Amino acid sequence: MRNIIRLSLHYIRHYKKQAVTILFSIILSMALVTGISSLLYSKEQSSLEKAGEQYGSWHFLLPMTPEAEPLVKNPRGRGYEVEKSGMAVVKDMISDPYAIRFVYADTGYLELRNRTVEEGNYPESSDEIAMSRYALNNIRAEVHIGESIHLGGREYTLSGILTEQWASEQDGNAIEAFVCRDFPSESPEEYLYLEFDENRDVVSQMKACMKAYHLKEAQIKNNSEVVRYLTNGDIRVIPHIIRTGLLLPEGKFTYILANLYQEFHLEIHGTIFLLGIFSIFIIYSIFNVSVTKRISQYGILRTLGIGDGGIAGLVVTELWSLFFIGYPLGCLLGNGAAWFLYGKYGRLFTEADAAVGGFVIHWKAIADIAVYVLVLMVFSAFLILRRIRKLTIIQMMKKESRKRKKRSVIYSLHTSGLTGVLTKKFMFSRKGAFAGILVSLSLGGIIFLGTTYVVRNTKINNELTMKSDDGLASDYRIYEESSRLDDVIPESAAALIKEIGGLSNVFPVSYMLGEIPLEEDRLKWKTIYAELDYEDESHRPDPVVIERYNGEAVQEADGSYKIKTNVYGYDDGMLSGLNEYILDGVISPKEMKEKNTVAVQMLMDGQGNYNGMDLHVGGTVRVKVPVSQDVPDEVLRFQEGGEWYQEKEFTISALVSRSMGKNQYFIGDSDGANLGIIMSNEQMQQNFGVQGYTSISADKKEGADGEAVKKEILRCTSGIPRCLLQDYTTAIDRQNRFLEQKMVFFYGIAVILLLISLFHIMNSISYLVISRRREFGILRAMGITDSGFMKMMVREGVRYGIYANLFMLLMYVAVRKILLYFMVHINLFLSPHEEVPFSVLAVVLAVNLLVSLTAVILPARTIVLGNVIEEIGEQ
Amino acid sequence: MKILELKHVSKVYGAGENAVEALRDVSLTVEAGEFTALVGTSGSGKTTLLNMIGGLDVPTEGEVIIRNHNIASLKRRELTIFRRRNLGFVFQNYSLMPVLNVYDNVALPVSFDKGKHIDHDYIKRLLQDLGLWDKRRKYPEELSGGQQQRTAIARALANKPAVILADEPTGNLDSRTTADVMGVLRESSRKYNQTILLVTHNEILAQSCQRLIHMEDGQIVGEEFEETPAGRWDGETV
Repeated sequence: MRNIIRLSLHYIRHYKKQAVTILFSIILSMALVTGISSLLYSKEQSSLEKAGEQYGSWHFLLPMTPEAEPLVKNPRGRGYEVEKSGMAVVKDMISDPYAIRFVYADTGYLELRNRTVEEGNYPESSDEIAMSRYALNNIRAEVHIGESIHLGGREYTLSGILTEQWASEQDGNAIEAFVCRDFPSESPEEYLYLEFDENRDVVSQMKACMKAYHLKEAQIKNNSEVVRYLTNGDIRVIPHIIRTGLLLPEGKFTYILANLYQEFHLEIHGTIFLLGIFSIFIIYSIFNVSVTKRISQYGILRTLGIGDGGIAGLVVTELWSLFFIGYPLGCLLGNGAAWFLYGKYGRLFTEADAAVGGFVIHWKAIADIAVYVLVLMVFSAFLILRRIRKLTIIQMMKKESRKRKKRSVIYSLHTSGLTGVLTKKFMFSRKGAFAGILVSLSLGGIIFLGTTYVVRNTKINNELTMKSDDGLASDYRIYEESSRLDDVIPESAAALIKEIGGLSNVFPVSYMLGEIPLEEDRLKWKTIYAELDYEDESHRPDPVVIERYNGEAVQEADGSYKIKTNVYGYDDGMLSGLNEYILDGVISPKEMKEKNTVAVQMLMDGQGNYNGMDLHVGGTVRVKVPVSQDVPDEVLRFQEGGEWYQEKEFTISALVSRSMGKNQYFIGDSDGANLGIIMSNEQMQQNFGVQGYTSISADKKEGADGEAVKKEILRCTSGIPRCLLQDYTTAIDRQNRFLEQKMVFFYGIAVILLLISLFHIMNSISYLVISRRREFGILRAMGITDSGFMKMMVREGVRYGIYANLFMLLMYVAVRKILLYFMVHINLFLSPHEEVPFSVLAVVLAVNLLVSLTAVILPARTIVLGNVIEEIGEQ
Repeated sequence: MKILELKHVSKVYGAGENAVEALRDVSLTVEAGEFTALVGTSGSGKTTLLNMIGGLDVPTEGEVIIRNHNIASLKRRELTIFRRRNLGFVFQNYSLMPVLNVYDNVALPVSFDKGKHIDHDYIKRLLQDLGLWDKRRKYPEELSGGQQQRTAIARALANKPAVILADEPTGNLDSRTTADVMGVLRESSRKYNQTILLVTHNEILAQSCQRLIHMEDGQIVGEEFEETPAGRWDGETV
């Protein structure tokens, strides 16, 4: 073995140029893989920090039962380590005039929920209270420490002001009022919040706790926005995922992929896997050329009695030796570039309150990549060895290839310019190397185009989800926190709000709860409704929805269905905004009013499909709603006599994926999980006699004083029961900045990839050109002029560029298809219709052409300046 | 008719203490159609001299005149074109283009000249004369050493050059093939009235040439002229 190592090191020293080229190839490839891995981990870390900032850094929440108590006393145990814990006790709740929860929170809880006392103190006596500005504004209290506050018939003194919760989290939740530990309570509910060691899988740690203390899974809730970044997925679930996927009537592959993607961070691991394969392919193609050039050496070794094992050892040792030098350098280069990029652009749009996480080098990933590449190198050495084994010793010593060429064509009979023929022949004589060049030439371009494609669609998707799913469509939302249909903002108040000078785009939304009948065969996805999923024990309906509304879906005796639906009334501006979410048809407010048509918000499955119901544009939908807004609660179960309801049939003019101005207080309306019928406010009034609005969204005019505007709104809505004001300006601003950062970040990655792959191309092509020195020497001896030679090389460079561009375009078409599939079915993007602009495509094509040309011309110039005799003598 | 003349040619490689004098004041004249052998031990300067004549290297001093052109005074481009049109090379390692077949290898130097049509009849005759016509579609690696060297000779003849410079053309060949290649060179010299300058370290082989020039330590140390007609050497004594 020692001799093999010594010999391989001797080879490296002797064939310096080849070794340096392979080394460069390793350095650049590893820079690419490790740099990208660090950027992806940094991005994930940043997303984790952002999620922690928004939703709190806690991982799990469980009721404080006697079984759970030891967890606080013994934070470390077998398989888990609790780093922080916090306790919250819900002492009391009131519903009038607003839904308010009185909570005692210890410091651990406040820290884990990212809440701090920004002014004053946490309450110390039972007549003290602490609240956020949002809560104080909404109960119409002055934001002053020492202020007297009346709630639930009692008087409290405001002792502290807490920082806000993330805006979208407040939506639909009761207002929190913090009280002291001794606050009187008849039936306190205690909850324990846990944060585990984040260097290990937090789900496994929670499972270890459950096992140790016999905790019940059903009682434990997780902070999914945070936990999803901190779990590695259990490989034991793979068979279950595959089995479930295969049992699905359609979308089998999508289901399996989506679940594996989510469980095993395929975004990172898949990228590293693919980049590793590409890298090794490029290293292999160069190494292969190098081996071919000295194949006679291996022939000599075989005559000396060194067997296949020895030659394999020699090849692997040579590759590994170069890898051990190249890998650390590649890591340094890749991570250095990534760190620079992250430092420069990661904070481009950041202000103090929207910190992006620092640059993270994931050491385990770095080590994993090293092992992965070492294994791939053994595999490529095996491929090379397999090729060598097919040759006899004489063939090896004569450097003959095994392949006998087919009957050849005499080119000079058809063309007088044999240099063109030579160019082609040189390029294609080493098909593996040529393929390697094409891959490396087009890799950067493909990644750049692919990233651009995803980034553009991500931008659109982010904007759309921000408006719809996060409810951040406008700066202010004035809404009724109530599940009664007659709790509305009167039209007079809405008119007053419209008058406020600092506001624009004031869009009121009216609401009705409805039900649509559907024949049995028109509901395609029965199991999407827990009420109809009779087989899955874990898919249970929401007890509140069952209790108040008799469930979201009911099957009749004749097999047909009754599906609950939200019915919204929008203003023209908001209706037009729906065009961005269109699946089919057209939204024209004027036509909708004239023809009394509606838009239907369709259900979406976990794979981004919207065909769960047989509803289509031009078809009709029958909607049943209570006879008026002022009806007893039982009417909302839709089981009362016909006199309590009114029914209308509408033609569907459009199908949409999302709604805006969502009402969460009835059957809910989240991310395409609920059906919706959308029409104009006028239609709501004419068809169903709906008066007033359940919410109003409005934008702040540029330059307007936010505080003054808020005060005005509160003045207009004072006296309206359960009417709250939510200020989204900070959240929108922050979200926008985050999105901007994300875009710049992704573009940065693409540019870095492009740059590294450009170096890669220069290295690979230069080597291939230089490796033909002898042939070029012969040509020069035969009398090709320098300019003739350079013309020939320019032709070769252009050819490389053209082939690479064709290959790149072809690959991009395939990659684009895969990306679109991922965006629609795995990432569930809304409207991914953006394409890469032609200008970007043209620039990438031109860059490829220029790089190939430069990569060929530079070494060609060295050859021209070289000595013909030395070139001919080159082996 | 005088076709090649060397006047006081010297070549020094390196400088100072490392200077090596490869050629020392070499003067020589070669007549058209002459088949000359340059012989000498390894390091005697014969290959260096051939490279100077071929314009592949530049003399430190002196003049190399071919067809009344001092090639040392030609510009780089002029020299390349001059070489292409007036000189043919035959190397020890054949130096064929591995990606081209026999026919295209032979046609290659002619194809560099724009506007000059490839004389396919001539190439066909060459290949037939050299016994390569049946092998015209073969690639170099599919040929024996002798066939490869014959292809290289055909390539050298393709441009109808003034002089063919052959550097140890039989160095890699067995005795039978050596005889074959020498026969081809001799026959070419006769048939096409071709001037050939052959470098070899093999004295017996050189005896088959019309003229024999001995070199030692970068200098011409002796000359012999043919006494009997070419073809004396039978190849058996090599």
